[in-house]
Amino acid sequence: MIRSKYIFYLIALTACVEKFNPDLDAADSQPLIVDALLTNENKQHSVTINLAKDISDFSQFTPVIDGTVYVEDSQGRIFDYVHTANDKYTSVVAFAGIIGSSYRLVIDVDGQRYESSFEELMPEAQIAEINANTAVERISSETGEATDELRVTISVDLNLPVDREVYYRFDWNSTYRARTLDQGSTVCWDERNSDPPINLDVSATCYVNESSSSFLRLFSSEGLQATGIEDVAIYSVEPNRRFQTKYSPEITLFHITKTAFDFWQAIENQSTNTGSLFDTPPSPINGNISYTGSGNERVIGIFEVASVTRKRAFFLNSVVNRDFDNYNIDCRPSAGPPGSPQPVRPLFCCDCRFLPNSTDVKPDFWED
Amino acid sequence: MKRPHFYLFLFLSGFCCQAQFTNTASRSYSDVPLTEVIKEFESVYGLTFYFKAEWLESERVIAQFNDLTIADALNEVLRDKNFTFLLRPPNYVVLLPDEGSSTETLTIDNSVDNRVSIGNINLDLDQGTISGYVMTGEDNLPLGGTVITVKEQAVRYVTLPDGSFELVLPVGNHELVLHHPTMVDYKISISLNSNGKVNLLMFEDVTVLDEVIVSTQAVDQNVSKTITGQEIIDIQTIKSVPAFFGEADVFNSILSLPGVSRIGEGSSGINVRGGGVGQNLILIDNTTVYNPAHLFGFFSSFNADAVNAVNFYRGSIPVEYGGRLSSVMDVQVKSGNKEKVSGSGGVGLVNSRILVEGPIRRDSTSFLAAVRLAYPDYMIGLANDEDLNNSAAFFGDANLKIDHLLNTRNRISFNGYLSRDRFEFSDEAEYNYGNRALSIKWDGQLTNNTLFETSGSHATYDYQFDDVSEPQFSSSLEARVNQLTLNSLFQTEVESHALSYGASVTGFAINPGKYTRKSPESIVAPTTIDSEKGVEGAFFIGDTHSLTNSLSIYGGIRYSFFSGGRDGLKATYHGPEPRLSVNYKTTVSSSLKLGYNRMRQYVHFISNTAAATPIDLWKLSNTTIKPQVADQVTFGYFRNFRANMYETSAEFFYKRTTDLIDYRNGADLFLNENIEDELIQGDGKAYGMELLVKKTEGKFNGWVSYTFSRSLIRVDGQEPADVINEGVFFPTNFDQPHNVSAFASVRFNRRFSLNANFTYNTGRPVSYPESVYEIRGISIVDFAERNEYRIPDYHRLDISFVMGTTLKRVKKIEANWSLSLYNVYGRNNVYSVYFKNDVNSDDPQAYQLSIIARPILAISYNFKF
Repeated sequence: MIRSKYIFYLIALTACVEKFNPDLDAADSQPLIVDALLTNENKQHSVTINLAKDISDFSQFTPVIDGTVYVEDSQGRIFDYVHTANDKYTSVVAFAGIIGSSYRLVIDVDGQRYESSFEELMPEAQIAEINANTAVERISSETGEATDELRVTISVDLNLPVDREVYYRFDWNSTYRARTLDQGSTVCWDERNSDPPINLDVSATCYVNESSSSFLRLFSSEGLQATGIEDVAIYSVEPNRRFQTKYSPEITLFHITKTAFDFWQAIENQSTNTGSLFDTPPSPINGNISYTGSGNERVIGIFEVASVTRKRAFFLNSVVNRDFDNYNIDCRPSAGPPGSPQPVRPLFCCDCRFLPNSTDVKPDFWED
Repeated sequence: MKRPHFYLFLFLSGFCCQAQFTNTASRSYSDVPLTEVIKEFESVYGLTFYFKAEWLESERVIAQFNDLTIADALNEVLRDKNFTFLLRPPNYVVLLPDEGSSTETLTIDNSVDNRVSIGNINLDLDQGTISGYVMTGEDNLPLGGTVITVKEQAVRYVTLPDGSFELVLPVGNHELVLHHPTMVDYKISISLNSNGKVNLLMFEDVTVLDEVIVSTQAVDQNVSKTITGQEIIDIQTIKSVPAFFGEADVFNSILSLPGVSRIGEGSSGINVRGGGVGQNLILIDNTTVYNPAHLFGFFSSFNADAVNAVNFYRGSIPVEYGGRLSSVMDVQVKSGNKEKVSGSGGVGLVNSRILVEGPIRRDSTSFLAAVRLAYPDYMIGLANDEDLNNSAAFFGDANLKIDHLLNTRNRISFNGYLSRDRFEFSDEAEYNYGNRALSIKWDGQLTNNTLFETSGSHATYDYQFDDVSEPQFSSSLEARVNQLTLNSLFQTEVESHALSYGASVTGFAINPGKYTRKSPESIVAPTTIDSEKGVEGAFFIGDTHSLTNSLSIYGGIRYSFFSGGRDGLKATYHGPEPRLSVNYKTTVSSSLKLGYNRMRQYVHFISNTAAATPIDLWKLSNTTIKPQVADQVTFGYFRNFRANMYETSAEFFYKRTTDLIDYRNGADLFLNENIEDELIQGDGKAYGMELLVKKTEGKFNGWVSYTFSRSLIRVDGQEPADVINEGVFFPTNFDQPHNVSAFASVRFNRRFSLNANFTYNTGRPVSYPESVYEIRGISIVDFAERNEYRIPDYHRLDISFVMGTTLKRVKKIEANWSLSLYNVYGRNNVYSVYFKNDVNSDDPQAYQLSIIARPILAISYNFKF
């Protein structure tokens, strides 16, 4: 697929992309969807179980609430799960997966039994370093127009074992320190024609948390021959107020099995399908859970067993080498609604606690 | 109008009216040019004269007569001149030189029957000798090995390698049928009067660019040929069919035939009667071409200028061909002109080409060299994409052919072919691939009735893909297929039998992949996939036998064997491949044909993308991958009307294939050392009906075809992963049930012509999701069944307008301008449908992609000298 992606660019030279509404049949039955993660962290682990829905169905997924769920390890120990909310099942007791042990998930729904394959809990892997690099990236809009945009890419350095292949999945969250340049100003509230909801003399410093959403970043050492690798890009962000003072990404590394890696990679391939004839035609993604009966009950999902390690780093605004003023933290005065005082600014320009996921309480991990 | 190259007698059959000959004539001429007299006779008495213009150049007439019959009047006109004449109904007057024998070349006019009179009618003889040469109409190259059947005598003659022949026949009427493997058969009726010399051209002279209709179309080969499903595409047809960016394309012509389709624009290869693109044997002068496409499928890799004709078999395949299941496309390169240096070329928006041919030693050795170089950057520049604008592409090909007549019985030819593509994508990746074909062929005559053809060929296809998008992962992947083939074919005529027999052996060496670092910073692990070696051989014998005048049969068997594979999985397979065709002529212009074929394929095309890419794999059979075997039954009814002016046919086929290759869901073929684990083999089933109506002659000609066909596969293995769609038959990627193809050509005069091509087919099968689900917040669509849906139907109209630069018959350079418009009404034909998460919706949204969503205008200048 990688090899053929460039062909597609050529093919698309006089291309036209339009939304399309195919006339799709309703599925006779919906497959069971299982999403389970077991790590070496000592906690109550969870499993979600629901049913897929017709692609034209805009309602919520139907949760499966009456299942019997447990995890069994290679020594025969059983960890029961109970239904706790909606589609979620939580282990009755907190427990940590043991490195080197294997686990499987067993689900019974209406007398139909589903089992995952035994998955080994891989050893913890370490992130050697977290890096932040700026680069001008070309961002293409839906209309195909490209614009240059300064981005900060957060990447990691990894040490790689030479005797085996490793499969990683990454996740991230970040915290940045935001300072309100116009703390206490009323220009933001004038827009709403109301008094400020809080005192104006609170701290002008906030800590804003962002985390990944619908994020999938995989890495495999398959086909590589090295003891380490540098700058494996994890994600990139715009260097706006995030880098006003200090930005702190935390990268989570899941050391997963090849089975899980293949599952996630299939999903990644499907999501990057460009519609080219040079793409592999789409096909069902089944994961490592199967129906044990003799019928054709379909189950899709993954019982992911992974060791987890996290690493945090702090980057000053010198990374982006840019001064921050109202202009580049989106606090430029702008035209307000008709009848309101002009100009106005967003609320968070006058009180940083109005930024999403913001607090003025310094997190424990924060290093000044 | 005079027809100067109709110098011999033309009969007209079917109707008789001699009214013009019963007129009386009264004229007076005083030293008037004979040509003027003839014009006056034509005008006044409604006659049509046939003669050769140079005969009359200095002839003048002094005559006076009153109330004479036309015959007597002509005697007066031609008195003391070295001409005789013949009157033939309804109004033809044929002038003949008095020598009684002719060394002139026959050509054939499509508007009347192919009937000629040879020799001096004033001589009273019992028998006469017809001697001469059979040559290609296009460039007068000898056609050794042409079988001339004299029907009434039930005897056959074979021309010598220099194309010469000599027939001793009773004076009277005879029907001759000429057959040459690379030419379309034609019949000619001869009225033999005395000894005569005749050069027979199997192709009309096409050096006049605007005379595009090929004479052989007048022949009833579609009715009379014993085997079914054979088409011979001549170069003029190839050039007539409007094409993408105006580039004459061999595949475009093939695609207009019933039973042939492709899955989309920009996809290389063709699908024939429900077969995959890897099931077609594509040859250039006996050498296999593994990738017949340039620029990922936009253009054919054959330079149309260098092509003499394309022999295309999709039904009954002669025993000398094997190794692929679906079809044989035999591209024959022209031999160089042995008499004079000539050439052709063209300048287009995408490429330019030049061909030069001529004698190395006059009358015995010739060369042909052709080069085509493309500059598709112009095309790439059309894209609204800066990355593409920063990309560069090149493709080109070259042909070299040397043809040498050792003596009158032996001929040797050497053919070299090279194609190359390079595409550099914005400093991130580069594709580099191409074919190389070399062959040497010896044609000879062992005995008076046995010809042989021995050839050795070497074919190579290689590709290199460099990924330099990230220094750490920069890599280079190289792969190569090598093939060495020795082939011997003998043809023996024994009474009413035409035997073909021989043997072939091919050695394969495949390097599936060598993966290396492209830069010092790279950390990719260099890898080399184990090479594969194998030998495929075959013995074959076939016989065409006319049991009666109306019943002919072609039967044969090819016994093929294979040994090889990759280390540890080597295997040996062998088996018979029977071939049978029966032709029963229900009338002189209609026939019923029945055919059966078994084909075996030991070398497999491995590609799990919807369309073939230049970096796909070829793989030999081994203990895990069995040979694919196809059995096809065909039945057809063929009927011609109005002296073969209209050809109609209805053909039906049913094909079953075993061990058809398919792929496990999510198969990863890239650098996979155990690729067998990703392949599954199933059963294929294809059937269909092909209807064709064709007008072969006249200023307006063309064809309309309709095909209904299905192509299905069933994969029902032992393991759950080896079962696709619950193990029932489902459509292949190229199952397109309805296909309509129409081509029309209108020749307004010798200078202007208009061609149009229309294509319609059912949308190809695709997998659509019926369900959606979420895991870790990621919306994922579920493609439960493979190929359950179809993209919208496809249709497209293309036109081209050809304008000759001059009406002069004698010109140093003949040239034309060709203006073409592809996708005239700018239909957004759907190339594919895919699903992506919409920024405005939680659920994935379907998108349709059209890749050539607007009309594309192109112009090219073509010339011959």
